[in-house]
Amino acid sequence: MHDCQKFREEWIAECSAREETGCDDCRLFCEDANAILAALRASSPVPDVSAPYWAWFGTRLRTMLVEESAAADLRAARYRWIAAFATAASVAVALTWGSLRIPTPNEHGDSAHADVVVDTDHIEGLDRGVVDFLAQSELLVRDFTKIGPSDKEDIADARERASRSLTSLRHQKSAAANFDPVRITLDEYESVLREIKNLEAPEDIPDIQMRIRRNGLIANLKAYQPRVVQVSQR
Amino acid sequence: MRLSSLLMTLTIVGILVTVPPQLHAQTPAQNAAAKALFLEGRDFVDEGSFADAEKTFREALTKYPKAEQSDKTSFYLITTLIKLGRTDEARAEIQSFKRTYPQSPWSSDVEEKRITLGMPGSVFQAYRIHAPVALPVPPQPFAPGRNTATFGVNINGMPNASLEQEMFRVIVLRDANYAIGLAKDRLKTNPSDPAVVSNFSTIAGSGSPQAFPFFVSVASDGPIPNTQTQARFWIGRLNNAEDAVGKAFIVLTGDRTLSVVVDVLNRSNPVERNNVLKQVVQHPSPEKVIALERVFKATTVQPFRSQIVESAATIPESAAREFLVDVAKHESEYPVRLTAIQALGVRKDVDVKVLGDIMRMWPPAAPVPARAKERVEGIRVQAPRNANSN
Repeated sequence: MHDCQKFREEWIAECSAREETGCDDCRLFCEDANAILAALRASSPVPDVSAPYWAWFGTRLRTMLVEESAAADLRAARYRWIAAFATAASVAVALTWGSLRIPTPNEHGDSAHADVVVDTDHIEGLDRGVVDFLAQSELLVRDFTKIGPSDKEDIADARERASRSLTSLRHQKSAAANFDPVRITLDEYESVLREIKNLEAPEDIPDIQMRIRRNGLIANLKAYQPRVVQVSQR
Repeated sequence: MRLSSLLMTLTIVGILVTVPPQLHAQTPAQNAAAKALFLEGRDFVDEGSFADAEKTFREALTKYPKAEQSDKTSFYLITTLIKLGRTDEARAEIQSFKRTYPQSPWSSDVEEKRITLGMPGSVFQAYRIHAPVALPVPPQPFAPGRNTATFGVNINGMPNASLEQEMFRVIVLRDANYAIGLAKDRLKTNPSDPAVVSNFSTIAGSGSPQAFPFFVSVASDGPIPNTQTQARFWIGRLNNAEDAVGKAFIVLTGDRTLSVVVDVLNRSNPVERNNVLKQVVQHPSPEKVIALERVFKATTVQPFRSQIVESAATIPESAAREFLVDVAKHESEYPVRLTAIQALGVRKDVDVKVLGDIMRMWPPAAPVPARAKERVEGIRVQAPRNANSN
């Protein structure tokens, strides 16, 4: 029985020396194979490759392999960066979203925070108007300590407020006459107010700010206002 | 490449969709609008309209969260919420502030509020644990002409008295005796240390038995007149918890510090002295009379001596009666003697014979000069006519 596969393998091994006894398909295969072999015999023989060629070939192959490896690393790094950026962006979006939420009164009011009360024992007998004046003055001085010599608008605002504050200061001092610590504080405050009101050059601002800090004027103005005390500390 | 482009596009689109437009940096016009809202809110604060102030500050922060002075507006909002007694909301704002403006110059101001409200935090925790070490060296007292500040000086490096004040206040409230020791150390370095002086009221209100000796020491030794005045003022407002003032008064007047106490009280005003004496007489020990007697003998200020006699009059013990009898019999200053006699006159434990003995010890009244006698009689004659004319 004719076996096409076996016939063709044997035919190639014997290089067409055998008689063609196969089927039509095998006969066609043999004809094609003979044509290819004839074409190969007709072409010029392949020359022997010299040693320098193989040296050059090795170098080039190595270079191409390195380049290919680097390109692969670059692609991997690019993907990693993209992934990292996407993660960071997601975190940023989440944080922004979180910070945009308006906190509600009970959001942070956990039980760790002790209840607080407003204590006025230490200013008993002090005129209420003076207490309010001290609170306003504290904010004025705090504002002034943040002003820079180039903040023209803020400087003008501070001078205007100082001038206004000076107007009512005499009355406040009179109302606090029997409360020595407040009277002393208002005396200090008055001298600072006058410096602010009569500010000649913005370069003088740091001097006044330093004086405020050195004398602890904010602390003194704050000391004679109602204070928040935790219930557990009373 | 297609995948990376897709991811990049999705990310950018996501951010643009999620972040609202007002979170981008504000334009000059928006900054101006934010400032206008802030000023409006500040005016409300000045007027005491805190509810309106809160609304305005919130509006400024909601509409222009990235405005130049949002941190200041946020601080004002925190202050306003505390004024309104809404401390939970103030706490929430403080936490939000720390997240939103970590580099703000208003951070230390907000830090004060955090401590005031008893919120936990890193700075405070460190301070509490290492209190004696962590307290920065206080600034030296102000000396005119010594100010070498020039433009560009970094004042932020200076101790922040108002922040230290808040920390020190918490220490006083937690352990007054320890805080008083700390205060003494700081006042040695800077006799007008604002963090301590501004907490005199807290120390006075603590009820510590060491408060009275502390203020006596400051009032007598302090080189700064204003600090001395304030110490004297708070001596008159000491919290007498567990008879702290009476106990300290007895101890201080029993040794070499008697002259110091007397000197301080001599320079105090009558109201301040009266407050101290009121608290001394409340002490249950009979030793208080001995202490008062010592001070009475040591002072030469007549109004103060009269006040001591008046205070002794309210003490029911027999030792007080004996003291008053002695003053009534032997005191050379007439107003003081008269005060003692009046005090004895209303006491139920005084025998009438004792009062009679006192009367007999008085020098006889000098005869009235003739001219004066005529004037007195003339007045007596005219008196009924004047009375009728009314």
